[in-house]
Amino acid sequence: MDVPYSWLKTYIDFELEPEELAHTLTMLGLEVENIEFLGTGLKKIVTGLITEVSDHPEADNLKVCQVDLGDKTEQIVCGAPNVREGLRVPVAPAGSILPEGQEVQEVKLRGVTSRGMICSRDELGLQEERADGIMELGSGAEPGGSFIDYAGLNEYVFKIDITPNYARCLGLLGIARELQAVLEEGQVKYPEIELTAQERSSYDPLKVKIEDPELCPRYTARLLKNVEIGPSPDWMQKRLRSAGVRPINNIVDITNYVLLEYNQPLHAFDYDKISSGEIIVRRAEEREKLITLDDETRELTTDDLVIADPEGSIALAGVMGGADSEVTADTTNILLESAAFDQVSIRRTSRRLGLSSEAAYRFERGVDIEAVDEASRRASQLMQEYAGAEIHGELVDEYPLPYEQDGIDLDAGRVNQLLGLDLSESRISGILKKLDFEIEEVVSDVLKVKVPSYRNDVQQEADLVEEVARMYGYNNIPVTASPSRQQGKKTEAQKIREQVLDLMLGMGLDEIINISLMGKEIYDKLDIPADSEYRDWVQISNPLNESFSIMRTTLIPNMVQTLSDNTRHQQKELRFFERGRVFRDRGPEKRPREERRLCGGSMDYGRDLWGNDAADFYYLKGVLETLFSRLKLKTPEFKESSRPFLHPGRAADIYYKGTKIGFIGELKAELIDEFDLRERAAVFEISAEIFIEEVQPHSFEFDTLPKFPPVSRDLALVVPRELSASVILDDIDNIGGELLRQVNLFDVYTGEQIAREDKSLAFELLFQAEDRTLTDREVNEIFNKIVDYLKKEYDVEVRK
Amino acid sequence: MKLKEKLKKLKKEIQQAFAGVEDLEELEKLRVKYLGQKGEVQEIFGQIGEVEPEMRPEIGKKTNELQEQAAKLHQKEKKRLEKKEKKQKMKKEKIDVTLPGTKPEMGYAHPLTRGMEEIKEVFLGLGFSIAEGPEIETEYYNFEALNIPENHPARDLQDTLYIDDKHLLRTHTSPVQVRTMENQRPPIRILAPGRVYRSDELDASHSPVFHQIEGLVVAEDISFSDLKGTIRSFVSEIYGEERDIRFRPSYFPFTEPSAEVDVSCIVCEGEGCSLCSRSGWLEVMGAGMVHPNVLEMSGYNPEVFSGFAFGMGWDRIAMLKYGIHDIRVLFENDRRFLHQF
Ligand SMILES: [Zn+2]
Repeated sequence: MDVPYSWLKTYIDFELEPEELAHTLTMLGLEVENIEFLGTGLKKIVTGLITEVSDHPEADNLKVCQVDLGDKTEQIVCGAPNVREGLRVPVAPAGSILPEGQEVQEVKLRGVTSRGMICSRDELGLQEERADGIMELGSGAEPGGSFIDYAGLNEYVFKIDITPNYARCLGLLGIARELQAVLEEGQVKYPEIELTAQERSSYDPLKVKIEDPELCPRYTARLLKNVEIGPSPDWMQKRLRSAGVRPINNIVDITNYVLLEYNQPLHAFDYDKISSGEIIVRRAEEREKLITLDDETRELTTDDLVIADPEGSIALAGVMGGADSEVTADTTNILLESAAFDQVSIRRTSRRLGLSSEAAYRFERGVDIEAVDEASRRASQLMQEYAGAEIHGELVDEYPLPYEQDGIDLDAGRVNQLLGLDLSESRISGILKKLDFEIEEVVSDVLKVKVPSYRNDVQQEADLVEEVARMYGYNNIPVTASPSRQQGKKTEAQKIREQVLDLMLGMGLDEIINISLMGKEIYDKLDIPADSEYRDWVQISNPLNESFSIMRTTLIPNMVQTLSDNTRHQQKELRFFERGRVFRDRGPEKRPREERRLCGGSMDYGRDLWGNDAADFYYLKGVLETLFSRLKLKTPEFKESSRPFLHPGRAADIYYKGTKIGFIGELKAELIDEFDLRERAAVFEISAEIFIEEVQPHSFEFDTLPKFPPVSRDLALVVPRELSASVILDDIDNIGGELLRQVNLFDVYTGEQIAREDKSLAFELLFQAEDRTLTDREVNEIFNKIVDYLKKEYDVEVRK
Repeated sequence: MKLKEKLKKLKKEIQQAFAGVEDLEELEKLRVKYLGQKGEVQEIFGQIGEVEPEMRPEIGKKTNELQEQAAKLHQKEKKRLEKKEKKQKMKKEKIDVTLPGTKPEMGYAHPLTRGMEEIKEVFLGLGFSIAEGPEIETEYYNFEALNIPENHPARDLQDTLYIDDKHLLRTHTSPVQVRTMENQRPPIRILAPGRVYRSDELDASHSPVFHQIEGLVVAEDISFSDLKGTIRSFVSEIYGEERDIRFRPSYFPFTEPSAEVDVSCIVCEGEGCSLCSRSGWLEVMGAGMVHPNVLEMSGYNPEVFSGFAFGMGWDRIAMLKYGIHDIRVLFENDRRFLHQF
């Protein structure tokens, strides 16, 4: 909300400078987000009167003006079409600087001296678009006077963030009341209202009928006749403008003005358009139609409250008036509404129709039901004064559900316990009284507190505790340490997750974090087919835009994008990992599945260990093997597989204890181009839940160190090319038995020395016994058994 | 020449020869010459049979002595020369110690992770445990149980992304408060870090996805001053001892009283600068006493138990701490950025 400093000051006296006031308000809970000085850059602009205009001797389109600036008259050359004698104008004297930074100097324009500049609105920064001519001021602009004073720009405006519990401060009087509670002196100065009413004739009926008091606990109507629609007074326009409200005409401006004073939305109907002067407050009929002020036809439901006359609805209660009963230039008689409506009902209607208004905003936060009549009186007075209105008859005030307050019990002991204070009951009473709370009685330290009608945010003891704290000062409350009898703990799962993080970092991969909302486009880019489970997206029903319309089902797209982005920045040898949740739809109304995943990506990194130009693949595979090994898990199994975005010959599913937990593979060649990767790149994704399920953080068993030396034997085999190395490895391991400690594959060879359809695998076999040094004979026996088995089982040849 | 003299002469010769030797190669030659299989000492052994039998034991003994002495001498010289040779070798091996080192490659944790770990450690030290919850929540946990009924204006404070009528993307980590209270009995001291979602466009200061840390303490006799103590400890650890702290009234539906916590600006120390919008203060978190309605809905008697809660945006903390002005940088994963942490 925009609060003009000088306007606020008319309701309460204070000595505070704008900065100090901002601080005071902020510490009251009315956070001042910034202070704007409306006349920024305009302090040197003065108002002048053009006393003489003559033609420029050298230029047809320029005029030479004599401008009365009070203490002196200056000659200024001006080219505006509307320049003329007797015009009052804003003048930037020589030596001043315009808001846009333009310096005004004494210059000669085609030989004629010009000492200053007559300004247009845009030159003063008062409008964006270029103006047609110089700004014309009213008769109030005295020669030599300050322009910002004249234009109401000598004003500081506070942008205040009003939270829902401060609804009362959506009116300036509400803010003044808050200040009154903390300032030493200064009483709220409520507007003095005097009305002169005349009898209402029987030809001017005025009746109010509330059919649903729950939705409208109070409704007042007043008849104002013979109004003259015209501009509102200058001072009012200035104040409205400084509060960010555009002046329209006296009637509209007055209702807006009172709204900003009292936080009470008012509505002016054209009385003559209301059938038999009868207001009926009722629920709309199902599918009832109403054309609102914005000329939209609204279809209503029985949840909506309308203001109607006997012939039909004339306004959407508390939200927006109807077009048919609108005040126009021809209006002479006005029915002024001031009412209170149910907060929830207003909010529902406004939300359902997507129709927000100042009135709805305030009604859904609550207005002061007891001040409904006061606001009406204030507006009537202003209309009487500034719109020539005649007040006919008394206020018609239907108030079926009067404000009632049982009072809230406030236990002084509870206040002190909750705040960590030691305040006496009388101190607490004193604090609350400053805020207009009444203390009805005190029974053994329990205060019975009556809440003023404008404090609908105070509903229970805790709310009063906050008021005490706020007035006592949050910063005056002592600082204590609540002793913890517990030890801060991480769960096992959290510890394991941290261990995974540390291992991944230790292996040299960089951690990335991506936004888990994404667009569908990248799934197409990755060639993920329409029926893929990757497309079992959780869809956002109200996405802001297409690029954040679904929840990710896999971490791969972001990983590929990250590799791509970094490639664009000429980064090389990339290795990344991401830990994050993925989401899967499980059908309508079912809670989607959330799963933690670990994803890795590598590009242009790793040694070409096996001479097959798949360094990134084997690097990531190695990362996973090390990760599992360091977490004391079994080595996962890798089985050839395929994925739409992976290289058909370089992809594997990953299994752990027989369960598929993820995959690894090189990106297919098309994607290298599609994502501008320039190099081969590999990725993996596995479920991170497996770590939580399988890691045994407390198993510390270790194998005793061998006492006897190992015996090493190399075995080189020529095998068919398509035979997986792991098959042979497993067999060697099985046949080798207990005494075969370790088998390492250390070379894979294809080339000239062997047949084209074959490859050579070289293993190192380590034999070792726990209780003795093995003899050659023993070792040879096992070794030969292995060789015999492999020869028999596969078409292998032992190389010597 | 008699063998005895020969022996004497040889002894002298050996002593001189070894004393004058200056490199290992020459020394080896001498070893072969005197102590080798066909060396001069062996030669004498071979000639012992030629002397008179009664002389034999004496000469034999002396030859043995000579052999031992020579071997010792050889060992001594060998050690000396080896030492000398190593010295010379090292002299030649001088390197430029200013050349760059071979760096072990370690990965870089994302700054959000680093910041989070730091914050977690602070709170673990204060006796908090870490709690977690789902990112896809129900209306009940995200709003109703937190005293934000349907059609309450407080719902406007957060623009919510919905999945269907029942499910939404949590707008804050506060649902974890409720879930924890439902599953545990007091005393409760938890810290709930996590990812949250809002219907915000991605720009320099907003992101539809960001991270929060929520704290909750519930026990008997917990007070606002305890809340201040906890936050004081946290701010000292994360922003430094010298920071001033300011509490000001604010509004959160699930706390009453509610406060916004400011710390003195880390750039201007309170003088006012662009980072703090010239106020001298930086807003770092929201906090307050748990609203009795929230306690009640979670099955706690608010007459017996009280508590406090606080919450902060951890992306914002990281941005302040590292001087990052654009939140998008955190999610772009540019390695040149990641490698600065
Ligand atoms: Zn600052």
